[in-house]
Amino acid sequence: MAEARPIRWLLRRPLIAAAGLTILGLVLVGTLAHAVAPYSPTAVDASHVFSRPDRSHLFGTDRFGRDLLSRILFGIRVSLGIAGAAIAAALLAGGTLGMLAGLGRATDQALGRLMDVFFAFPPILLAIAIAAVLGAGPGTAMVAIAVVYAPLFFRVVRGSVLAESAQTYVEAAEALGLGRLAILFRHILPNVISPIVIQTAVCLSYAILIESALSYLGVGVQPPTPSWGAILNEGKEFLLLAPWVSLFPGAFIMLAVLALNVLGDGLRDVLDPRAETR
Amino acid sequence: MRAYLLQRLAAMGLTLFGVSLLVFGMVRLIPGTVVEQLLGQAAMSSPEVVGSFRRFFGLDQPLHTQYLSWLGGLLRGDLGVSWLSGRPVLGLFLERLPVSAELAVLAVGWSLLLGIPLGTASAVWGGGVRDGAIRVAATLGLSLPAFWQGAVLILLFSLYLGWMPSLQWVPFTQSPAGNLAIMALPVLTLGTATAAMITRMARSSMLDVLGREYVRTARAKGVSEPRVTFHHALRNALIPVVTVAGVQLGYIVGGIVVVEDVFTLPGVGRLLLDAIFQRDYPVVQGVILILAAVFMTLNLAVDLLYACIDPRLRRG
Repeated sequence: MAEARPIRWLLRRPLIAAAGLTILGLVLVGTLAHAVAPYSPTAVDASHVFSRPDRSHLFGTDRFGRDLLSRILFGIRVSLGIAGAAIAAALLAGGTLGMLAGLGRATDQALGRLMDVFFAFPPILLAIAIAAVLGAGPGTAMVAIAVVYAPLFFRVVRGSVLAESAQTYVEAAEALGLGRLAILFRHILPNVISPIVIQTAVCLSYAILIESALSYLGVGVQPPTPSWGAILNEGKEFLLLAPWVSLFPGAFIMLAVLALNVLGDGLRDVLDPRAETR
Repeated sequence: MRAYLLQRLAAMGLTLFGVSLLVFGMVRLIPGTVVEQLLGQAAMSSPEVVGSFRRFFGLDQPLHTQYLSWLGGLLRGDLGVSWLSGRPVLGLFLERLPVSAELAVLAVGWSLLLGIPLGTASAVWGGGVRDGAIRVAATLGLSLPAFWQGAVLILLFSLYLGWMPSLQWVPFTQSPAGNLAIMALPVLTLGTATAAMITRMARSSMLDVLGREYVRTARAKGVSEPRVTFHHALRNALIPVVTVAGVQLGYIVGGIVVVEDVFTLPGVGRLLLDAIFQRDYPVVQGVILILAAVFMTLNLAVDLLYACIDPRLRRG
C-alpha cells in the first residue's frame, strides 16, 4: 500500500479525521493534565465557591471552589482510562472465549448458554447490579463495564470464527494435519480482526456512557476523584444555581462519545466495505 | 412454528435459571454478611441479635437451601419482603410499574414517530445536504448522555422558557394533562437515542429496498414516485425497523433507571436505586430479576414476530 493513501483517504473524509484528532487530543491532554490544567483538581478555594465561568476559571468553579476545567481535564484520565481498561479486558476475555467456541460444537454450546445469561440483562442494569454488589469505586466501574461487554465481543468473534471455519484455507490447514487450536489462533484469528476493531470503537463509546452513568448515579467513581460522571453527580443538586458544573463535563462526554461513534462508522466503511453506510 | 416457539421457550427457561443463580450469587458475594450491613454497629456488640437476624432471614441455612427456598418462592410469585419496609417486593414493584411502563411506551412511541419519517426522508433524499444533516443529527442523538440531556432540557425549560412542570407526581388517571406535562421531558430524553437508532435503521433499510428489482419494475411501469416510496418500498423497509424498535424497548428498560433519577420520577428505576443505597437486598435482587425477565420476554417477542414475518428464521 502506498504511504500517502491513508492520508489522502482521511483528507477526503474530514469528519472522520476530525473525530480521530479529537480522540488523540483528549488522550494527549488527559495524559499531560498535570502540565495543562491551570489548578489542582482537588484544590479547595472557599472564596470562589460557585464562581461563574470567567477569565481566571474558564469553566467556573464548583461548590468547594474547585476549578472545573482542571477537574474535567483530570477527569479525562479517569473516564477514558476506565473505559479503555474495561474494553481491553472485555476484548481479551470475550475474544478468547469467542475463539474457543470454534473448538467444537460442545464448547460452543456451553459457552453460548453461559453468555445468554449475561445477554438477559439490559447493559446498564447489569452494570448497576455489579456496581451494587462490589461497592462504588473506579475498579468497580471497570469490572462492571468489562462484564457487560465481554459477551458482546464473544458473540462477534464467535460469529466471525464460525464463518471463517467454512473457508477453504481452513480445510487446507486441517488436511495438512494442524491442530484445531493452531488453526484457530494462527490462521483464523488474523482474518477476524476487522469486526473486532469495529466493535472495539463502538464499545468504547458505550463504555464511556456507562461509566459516566454509573458515576452520575453514585455507584461508580466517587468524589473527590474527578470522573466526568462524578462531576455531573456533584452538580445535579445545584443545576439551577450553577448550571456550568453540569453543562461542561456533559459536553466533554458527548464530544468523546460522538468522536468514537464517527470513528466507528468510518472504520466500518474501511474494514467492512460490504456494510458501507451508503 | 410451534416447534420453534417451544425451543425458544425452553432456551429462555434455561437462561432464566442461570439469571436467578447469578442474581442470587451476586447478592451473596457482597463483602461481609448482609445482616451486618443491615444492623451496622449493633452487629458488633451483640452476637445474639445477629444470630436471631440470621435465623429470621434464613441465612443460617446452607447456601443451596437458601437458593432453593428463594427459587420456590419465585415460582409461586413470592419475591421475598423488603428488609426496610417489610412489604412484599412484588407489591413494591407493581406499585411503581405504571410510571415506568408509561415512560417506556411513550418513549418508544415518540421515537418511532420521529425516526421512521426522518430515516425514510433521509434515504429518499440520499446523498444530499438534507440527508447529511439527518445523518449527523442521528449520530449526535446516539452520543447524548441521557442524564446530561435531561439536565439541559430542565435548564432550558425552567430558566429560559419559564416552564416548570409540577414536581409532584400525578397519575394519568387523575389528570391526563398534568401527567403528560410531567412526562414530556423524561419521554423526550429517554427516546432520543432510540429515535436516532430507528432513524439510522429506517434509512439503511429503505436504501436497501429502493435498490431492489421490484422497485425498479414499479418505476418502469410508470408508478408515481410517492406511491413507489410509500406503497412499495416503505412497507417492506419497515420490517427490520420494527425489530430494532422492539430491541430498543428492551434497552429502554435499562434507561429508565437513569432518566427516573434525573427527573425524580417515582418509578421502578428509582425503587432499585433507593434499594441499592439503603442496602435493601431483597428488593435489589427482586427488581433486577423482574427487569431481566421483562427484557428477555421483549427480545423473545421480537424474535417470534420476526419469525412470523420471515419463515427462514424458524430453523434458527
